[in-house]
Amino acid sequence: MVLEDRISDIWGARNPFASGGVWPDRVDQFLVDGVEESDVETWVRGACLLCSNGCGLEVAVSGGRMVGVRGRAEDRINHGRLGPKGLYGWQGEQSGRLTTPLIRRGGELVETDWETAMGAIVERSAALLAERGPLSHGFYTSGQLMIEEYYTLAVIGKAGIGTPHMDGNTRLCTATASAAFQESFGTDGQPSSYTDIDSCDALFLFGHNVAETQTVLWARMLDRLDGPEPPRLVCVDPRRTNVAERASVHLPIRNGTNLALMNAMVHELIATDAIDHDYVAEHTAGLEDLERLTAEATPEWAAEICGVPAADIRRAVEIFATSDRVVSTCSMGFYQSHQATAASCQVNNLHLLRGMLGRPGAGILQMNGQPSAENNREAGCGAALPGFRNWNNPEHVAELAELWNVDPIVIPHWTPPTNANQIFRYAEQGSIGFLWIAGTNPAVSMPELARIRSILGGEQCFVVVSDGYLTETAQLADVVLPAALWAEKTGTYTNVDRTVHLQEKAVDPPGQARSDLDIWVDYARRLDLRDKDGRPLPPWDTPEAAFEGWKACSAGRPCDYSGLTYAQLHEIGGIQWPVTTDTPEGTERLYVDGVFATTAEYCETWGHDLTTGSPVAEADFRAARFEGRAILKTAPYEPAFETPDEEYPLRLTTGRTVYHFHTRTKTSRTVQLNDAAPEVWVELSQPDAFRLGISEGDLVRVSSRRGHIDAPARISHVRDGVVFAPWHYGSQAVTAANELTLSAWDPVSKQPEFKVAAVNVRRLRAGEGPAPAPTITASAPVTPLVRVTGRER
Amino acid sequence: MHLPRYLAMLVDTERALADAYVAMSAGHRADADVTFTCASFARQATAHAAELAATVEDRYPSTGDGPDRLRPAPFTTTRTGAVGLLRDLAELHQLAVFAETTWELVEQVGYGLRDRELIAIASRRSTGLGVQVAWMRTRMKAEAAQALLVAT
Repeated sequence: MVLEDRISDIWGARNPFASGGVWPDRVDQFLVDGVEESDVETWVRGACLLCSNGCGLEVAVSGGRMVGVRGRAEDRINHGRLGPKGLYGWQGEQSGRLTTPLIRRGGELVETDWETAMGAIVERSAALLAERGPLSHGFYTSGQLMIEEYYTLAVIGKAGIGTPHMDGNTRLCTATASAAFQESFGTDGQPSSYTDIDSCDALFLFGHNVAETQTVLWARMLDRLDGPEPPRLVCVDPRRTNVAERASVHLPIRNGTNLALMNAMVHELIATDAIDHDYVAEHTAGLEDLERLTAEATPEWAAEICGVPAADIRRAVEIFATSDRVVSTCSMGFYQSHQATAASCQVNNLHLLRGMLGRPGAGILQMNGQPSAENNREAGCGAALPGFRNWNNPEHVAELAELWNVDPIVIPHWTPPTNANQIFRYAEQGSIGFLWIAGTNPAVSMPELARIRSILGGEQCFVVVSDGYLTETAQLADVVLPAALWAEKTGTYTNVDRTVHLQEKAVDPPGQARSDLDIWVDYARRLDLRDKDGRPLPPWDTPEAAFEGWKACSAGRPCDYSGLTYAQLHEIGGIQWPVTTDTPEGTERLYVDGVFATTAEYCETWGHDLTTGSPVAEADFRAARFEGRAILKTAPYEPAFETPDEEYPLRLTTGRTVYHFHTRTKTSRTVQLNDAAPEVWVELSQPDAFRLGISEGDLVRVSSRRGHIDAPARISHVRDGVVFAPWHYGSQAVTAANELTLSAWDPVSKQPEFKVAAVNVRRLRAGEGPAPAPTITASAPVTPLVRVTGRER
Repeated sequence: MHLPRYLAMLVDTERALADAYVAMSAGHRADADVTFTCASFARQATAHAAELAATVEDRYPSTGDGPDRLRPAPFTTTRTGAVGLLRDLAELHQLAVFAETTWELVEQVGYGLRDRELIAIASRRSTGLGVQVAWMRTRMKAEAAQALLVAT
């Protein structure tokens, strides 16, 4: 048992291991002051919900309260470890919670009871449905709810009401992972496994600061890097992250130039004839197009655009080409950019060209940002049909209609599913007159916040928010419902590498708070949603019954849960889908036989033009006869939507810090985490700071065409010409990085651009000491700080 | 030979298309995908108009005016609201399809002339316009139900 400070020692003690070995256990535990192990009455099983890693843990309960957590040694994800947010972040659920429903009266939110709140919601909802139909309704949800809740809302929205306007904030974090899988392999679904890290001989991290975003996954990588036969590490990131510091090759490319780099890497792989011709011939289609589209993309060409030496690009490709087992991860640096899907497809392509897929140590991990983003995607709560079904395939729609016992025409397959950007646009125009936001805080997380606030606060759309806290979004709602949070309800969720966990209810929610499942079933019953035979929709009202419903829906699809039970998840901890009668213990890797999901009957999409997002016609997809071969796709590089100019000469990028999660609803209420990163800062390179006359800690104003923020400057190792701002700090407009970002998105995944906006920076005045930024992460100062603030721990 | 006048008309069409894209991009800023996509298409149309103009001037100089009745109406102002966006897209689509078809014909004529340079330019451009036309159809389909059923 390890009891240590996970704030100053973020990744904990090393347990090095050799290639092909088993990652040693190290159980991390934290109990609040004054509580001893002997005081713990029960340990309740579950998994952490504060990043997409999904570490198995147990919640310590005493006197009806959570008093601590410890990692589960037997869990395949973490082998007992927990990161800073996992160890401490749950405490944020114990203060500042919503305990009663609120309703807007005379412009103010006032406390009310459930009957009044639900009555108001259903009255508005029913009136709009009667008057204007299902297109008047939108649902914007989260990456932090449970399968049971997502699927319940999917059935309400898609079988009951019949609206295409459903999306999750997964649009902001993981939509590109899904889109890239669909374009390359025919369907969503992570092909590989965390265990591939245990035996790889090269690691490529594309726009993925894993050291801060999934700390326990980085601990696994560190234990390989510090062990015998360490893998070579390549890092693509404009910041000098902790990953970059360990890299054999660090490519600090200009943000917004990912696709130029990727096209050059593929070009070089082809030019040096490093491709696995047998694998490519047997298992892929589209090599000719890929060669044509990357023909001019030499390393020298990309070096000019990306601002890194051509020799470094060649060196990275050489590592890829001379390794036998490569694992690549890809994350927000690639996803939240203007050519996100094409760049992420090129990561898939590198692996396909080298036959680096479906065997131990050779794999792709297109990351998720949030702990249950995967479930929003697979359960069809967002802009997709459940079970990775193809909304353009009448057979798939008919399957759902039969399962739900509704007329297929009710299921919104006759128009493309609406992405979050468009949902907010319709809400702005008032054509969506009823918008329900659950478990997410778009008033901080969406781009161009001034616009989002005006949409949510306007009269043109009735806004319902269900959340654990009175967030910046909830403050603008017409009705606010208090929701139960993690460990206050039972349900399942799935992490990056398809590992499903069951979180069991440990404590009661505070006050009158209810689970999202209960809230939505109540809504459905009050709306009197029914199937063709008059039975209530959805037919369940408990988590386990909802899970059984989901199992039936997932059967036969890639994300097949049909062989899973709550009992099995309780006993074993994490299990990877698909789990069927043939694979009762789960499935470590997909596509081990090189046969992909690109048959017309099975695939999730016919694909898209990666430049414009226009869908490929069914006839063209069928004519191409992919028949199980993966599809090699890319697009020509284009500059970002907004590039620096004379007035706004710097490139803003936004990102995260290790100590906070998203809009800090939980982590700002956790003393250890909040103390470690209490306030906003911005990062500038030393040359830029010198040029602008800015010193460490000076208050600066960062301005874009959309707004400005004021923050102390950290002089960090960020690339010259680049400004970094963490986007967590939305409690005041003047500190919210998304005041600066622009409304624009990748044409295929529709994921917004958060990684490039043109800004200028000017000094406002001297600060009161160093910037309040962490000092042992990518935010580390260039020169040691002269004044001790306590944050240097 | 009527080709020079026909090509002059195509240069005008590409310029009109570029102007239309610029107008769309400026007129529908609240629909960010329309703004940025049309800005990108405008750059392509401008470049193609210039490329074709150079070829025409060099190889097929026109002495008279182009065929007036085929010259597209200018599209420089945009409408507002969801229905306005739908109608603007429809109008733009009409213009882009006209350009696409014209390039296809020019490609065919290029074969007749055994002019490989003209064939290459025309083939590239009709493919590029095909992508743009497909985008407009997609965008209209995404908008249609909302605009025609529930837009206020």
